[in-house]
This record gives sequence, structure tokens and C-alpha cells, in this order.
Amino acid sequence: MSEEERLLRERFSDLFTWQRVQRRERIFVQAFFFAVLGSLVFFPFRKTLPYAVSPLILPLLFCPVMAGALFLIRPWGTRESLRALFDLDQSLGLEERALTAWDILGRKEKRVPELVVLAEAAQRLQGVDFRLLFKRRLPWHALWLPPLLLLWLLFVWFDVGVDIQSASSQNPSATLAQQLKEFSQGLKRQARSQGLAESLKVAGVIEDLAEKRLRGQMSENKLREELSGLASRIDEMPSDLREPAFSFTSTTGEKLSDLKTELEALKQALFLPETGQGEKRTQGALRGRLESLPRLSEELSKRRLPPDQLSQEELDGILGELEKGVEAELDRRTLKEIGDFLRFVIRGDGEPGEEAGDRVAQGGADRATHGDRLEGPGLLPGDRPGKKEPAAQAPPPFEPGMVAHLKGILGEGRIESFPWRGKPRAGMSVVPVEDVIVSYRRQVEEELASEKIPEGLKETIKNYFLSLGMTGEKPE
Amino acid sequence: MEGLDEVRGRTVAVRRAFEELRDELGRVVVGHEALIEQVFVALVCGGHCLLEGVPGLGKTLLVRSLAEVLNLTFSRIQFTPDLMPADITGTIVLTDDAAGKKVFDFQRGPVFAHIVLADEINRATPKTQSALLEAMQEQSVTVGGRSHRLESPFIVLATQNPIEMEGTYPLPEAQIDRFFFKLLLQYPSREELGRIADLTTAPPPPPLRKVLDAEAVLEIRDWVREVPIAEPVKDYAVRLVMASHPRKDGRVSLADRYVLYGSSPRGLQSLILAAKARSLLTGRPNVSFQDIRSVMLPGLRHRIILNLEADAEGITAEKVLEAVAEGVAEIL
Repeated sequence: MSEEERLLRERFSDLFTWQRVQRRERIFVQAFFFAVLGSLVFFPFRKTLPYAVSPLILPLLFCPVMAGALFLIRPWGTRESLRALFDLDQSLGLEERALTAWDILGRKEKRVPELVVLAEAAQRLQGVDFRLLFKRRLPWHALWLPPLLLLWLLFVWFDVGVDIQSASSQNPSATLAQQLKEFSQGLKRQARSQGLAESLKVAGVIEDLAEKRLRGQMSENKLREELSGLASRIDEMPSDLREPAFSFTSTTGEKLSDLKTELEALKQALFLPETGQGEKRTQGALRGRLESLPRLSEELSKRRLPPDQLSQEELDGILGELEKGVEAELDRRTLKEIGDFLRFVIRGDGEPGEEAGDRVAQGGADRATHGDRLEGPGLLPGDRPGKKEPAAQAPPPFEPGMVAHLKGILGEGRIESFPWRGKPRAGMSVVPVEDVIVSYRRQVEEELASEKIPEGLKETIKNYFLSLGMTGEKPE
Repeated sequence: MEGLDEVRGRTVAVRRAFEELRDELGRVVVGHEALIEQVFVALVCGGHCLLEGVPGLGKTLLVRSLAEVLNLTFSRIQFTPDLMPADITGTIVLTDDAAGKKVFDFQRGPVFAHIVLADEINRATPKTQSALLEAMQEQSVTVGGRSHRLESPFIVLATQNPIEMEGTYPLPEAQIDRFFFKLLLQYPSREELGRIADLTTAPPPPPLRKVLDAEAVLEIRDWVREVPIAEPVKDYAVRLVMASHPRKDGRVSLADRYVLYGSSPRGLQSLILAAKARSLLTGRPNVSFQDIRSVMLPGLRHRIILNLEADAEGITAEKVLEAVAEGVAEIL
């Protein structure tokens, strides 16, 4: 190999390396651009994503795919090398000497006129700095990338309400297992929070069945058979479960939920969280607290159990029985609704994701505790005292796994929500209860100060929240 | 390396020779710089030219001067309807030999020259045209069963008058395809006309200096074929030819609409060979894309047959070729 040939090979290698680097950079910019663009296009379908996948990371998921596709579609080949040489000839005015020299280098035998071309090309290319000659140039995608990225972040941050009905809900049979799984997960959360033991067990069984179907270990028909059997077993459950010491069969779900909430509030007030020893408050304070819990007071008076005539032990016993009764009734109702839901799903007509979900949602909202409260009649005030609009009585559809609203919705007041996705952590809450109470108090005070709260209800609401120990001070 | 210097030396020599030739011709021929270059390219490529232009533009002067500068023999044939093939090729006549005996002797026609100017070739009958075209192709004539080799180098410069088409015999497309280049003579500009007037009304200039000879021209012919051309450049020429065809890959819309038949493979040969010659004349050791583009019009314009629609809309082959040049990228 002559000196010119060696030099030219080195020079061409340098040129191609630099051009490849630039090309890679351009492709990555393009890939990221298309990834963000794709994420924006995909945004309305974000509900089809698995539960654990946040829409925020969509561009990061798309980018490697796009980059891979672009590299696959346009790999570096002879065409790119020729283009680089052509650009070099054009830039230096070599009149295709570089291109011809590169072509000649690939020939086995070289004639003297060809060697002249090599010599001239080598002479011209010696000492040329390709990095200076071909400065880094980003494609137009780079200009559009920042605004597009910003737009994407705004979409995600504000969770812009662009929704297209997901494919899963359009094909019920294909996603029955997925829906059952989501349903069971939501049910589990609810059962745990309300202490519904039987419902929790049933939720576990449903989830197992759904898992098996999703893993392909069970056919669709088999799943339906199992669900049918489960629904029958729910119907045949022992009657003692459904008939506790205190009967609440005629009590509405709304009242039951309120009662449960008040019982929990009272329990919290009776026992100091930091001691954990069950140190009890004085009799007077307890009775004062009871007066600010309307549902509980009503329930005690209905059963002719005036609190001021009961001893501390008697009151404790009655409250315990009441709580058991409420839980049992809630459990019973939940099981009944699960049975209805399963039968509806087994029938397979219509769209279980909507209709059946709505039915369960109604029950779910009725039974909502303070942790799961969305929007419902309950103790929340409407536009006018003592009168509720039909719209207000129909809570939003319950969808397990959907964005949870941490802050409650009061009437038609200003709605603020913070979208949060993720599985609930097991164990103790990481947020101190005092912080939550203070936060709730602030929100309630804001709402109370607003003119949309009917004047007559302001005092009732205030008393209720005060009964929860919302003084902002630690309990004694 | 000795060989390298030799090749470099001859490249430089050809460039200088051509510059001298151009300067020398410039003393008597006003304008026509591009025409001079193209005729010389055709000569060193071994091709023939079809010149088209109105009378009085200096065609004969150009060809005669070229022959003089190149030290080549020159003959001119005025084609007329009654011109016979024998008037071009020559004929066998009965004559006396040295001993006084009657013998048949072949009298060489005007085609036996290095440079032949076939003036108004379309005025002769097809039979006579064929005789010349056969001589062009074979570089020999056959008379009385005997083949006679023509001079080398041999170039025919045939002219056509684009006006006064009555009573003419237009060359068939197959015959036109045998011409390496078709060159158009442009009417001189105002400055050029002034210089023509000066030159032709003043005392005659001194005789032209001989720059090259037949042997040198033949040597350059060999060198032309040795000029390297890169595959992508050759591919560009191929794609240009392909694009001149309707309903072919890489065609351009204008060609698709107005061309009946595109260029023949001879067109591609002309393009590449002429580009090689041009690169040598400019002192470059390799063929560039620009070389291909600059010989595209003379090399392909007579090889494109346009349809009636083009005729009706005034679309010329030049317009189609310009569109082709614009539509075909150098590198795919």
C-alpha cells in the first residue's frame, strides 16, 4: 500500500467517523422528538397503560423504540459514505477527486491514471480538519423539541381531559379478567379500609381467578364458571353474617357510612394515638364529643340509650357492638353487590366496565369512608339547605385504579385535585394524622368562609369537624 | 514514480494544447468558444458532430480553421438532391497506367480527409446520406468490391439548416443517433458581430499556427479512455439517461409527458466518453459530475424523440433535458 493510499484510508475513516457521530446525534434528537410527539398522540389513550406505568415516562419508553427504528430504517451504509464524500468534494471544491479516490481504493488493480487521482486527493485532504469543515448541525427537530416537551409536561401535569374510550372497554370479553382484577383490587382496598373481612376474602378469590386467566392458566368459559360458583357461594353464606346484634337493614348506605365515620372519629378521640395504651378521656369530654356526632347520637337515641345515663364501660360496649353491626351490615351489602356484579359479568351482555361498574360504584360511594370519599350526598351540603340535586346524588362512576382525589369535593365549591397513581403501601400511613387533620381543617375553613355554604349548615359542619379533634392542638 | 509523472505531464500537455488551440482559433473565429470545445471533444473521442444553425454563422470557417490548426486534411461536400454516393466515396475510372495500358483506378472521393464538412446533409437523398453515414460508422468505404480505409483521425461535421425544410430529406432517427454530438450554432452577440466586421474587413491575419497533428490527436484519444471515472459518477450518467425515458424508474414528469423515446445506450457512451475528454481538457485526472452535466445537452438532445404534444406546446428536447438534470440527484 502506497503512502497516499494509507493517508487516504485514514482520512476517509476520520471523515466517516465524524459524520457517523453527527448522524447518531441527529437520529437521537429526531427519535426524542418523535417520542414526545407520539406521547402527545397517545395521551388520550393513557388509560390503556398498565397501572404501574406513569404517562410521564412515556417519551422515555418511546425514545429507544424510535431510535432503534430509525437506526434500523436508515443504517449507515454505502449511500451515507457516498453522501459524506460528495459533501467533502463540494466543500473543498475537489471536483469529485475524493469520491473517485474512494472508489479507486476499493479496486484490486490500480492503473497509473488512477494513482494520479489518489495522489491528488491525498495532497488535497492532508491536514483537513473535518470537525471544522463539517460543524455540528442539529436538525429542525431540535428547534421544536423544547416547546413540544413543554407541551407534553403541561398535558401530564394538568392531566388535560382528553379521553378516548379505551379499547379495553370496547371489547368486554377480551378484558374481562383485567377488569375483574382491577375490580378486586379496588374492592380489597375498600374492604381493608372498612374492615370488611368477608368481602376481603372474596376479593382475594376474584383476584386469584383473574390472575389465572391473565396468565393463560384458565379459559374464558372456566372463568365464567368459577365466577358463577363464587356468586352462588356468596348467596349461600351463613345468615349470622348478615344478621348481627344490631340490625341496620333499614338504614341507608349513606347513613351507615356516616355512622361508621363517626364511630371511627369517636374511637380516635377516645384513644390517644401516641400512647397506644387506651388512656381514656373524662366522662364529660366524651359526652360532649358525642353530642357533636349527629348520626351516632341519633342511633343511640333511637335505641333508647341516652349517653348521659350510661357508664363508661356500658358506653364502650355499646359503641363496640354498634361498630361490629355497622361493619357486618356493610360487609353484607358489599357481598350482595359483588354477587350482583359477578352475575352481570357472567351474563356478558352490555359493557360491564360501565354499567356494572356504575352499580358497584353506587354502593362504593354510599359506603365510602373518609379515606375514599369522592362526592356524594352524605353529610356534604348542597346548594340549598335540606335539598339535594339529583346530579349531586349520583356519584361519579367507581373505577378501581382511577385517579384518586385526596381532597374532598364540597358542594359546587372550587374543585382542586391532585392526580396520584400507585398502589397503596401496606402498613402505617407515612403522613402524620395531625398533618392531615390540620390540612382538612384549613380546607374546611376555606369552604366555610365561602358564600356557597348555606348559612344554616355552617355551624353543623364546623361542629362535626371539631368533633374530629381539629383544633390543631395535640390531644391531651 | 515515473508513470505518475508521465500521466501528470500528459494531462498538463493536453490542457495546454487545447488552450493554445482555442487561442489560435480565436484569432479567426469570433465567439463559438463552447462550440470549439465540443468539436474538439468529439474529435478526441472519435465521434462525429451534427451542426445545426442558420447559414452564415461561420461553420465552414470554423471547421477549416480547426483542420489548419490541427494540421489535418479537410474537405467540404455540399449536399444537393442530385448528389450521388460515388460523389462522396469516390469512383472507379478507366485510366492509363505508367505503361500506357488502360486500367481501372479508384478515384478517392472527398470523404477521404481527416475532417469532412458535409454541408446541408439533409438536402441529399437518403441513399447518398447512407453512404456518408456508413463511412462514418465503419471508417471505410467499399467501392467495386474493395474496401478502402479512411484517414485517421476522421471526423464528419454535418450541418443542417433548421429553416427552408422544403425539398429536404430529414435524417432518420437511427442515423441521427450515430452522431456523437448535436451542436447548435447561436447567432453572434452585438460585440461579436463588431469583432467579425473588424476581422473580415481588415487585412487577412497571419496564417494559423499548427498546434497539434494527427498523431497527437490519436494519442489523446487513447488517453481519454484511460481517465478514471468513479462508479457513483457513472451511475449518475446512467440515471440521467434513464430519466430521459418515459415510464422508467427515476423519470421526471416532463420526460414522462413529452418524450416518446428516450436516449439510446449510445447516448450514455457519448456522455461518459465526452466527460472523460472534458476532464482531460481541463487538466483534471478524473471525471466530475459537472463534466457529465456539461456534455449532456450536446450528447443527448438529438437522441430524444418528443411526442406530438411536445411539438404542439413548443417543448424542446433541451427543456426536457434541463428538467432531467434538475430532477436527478448526483448521489442517491
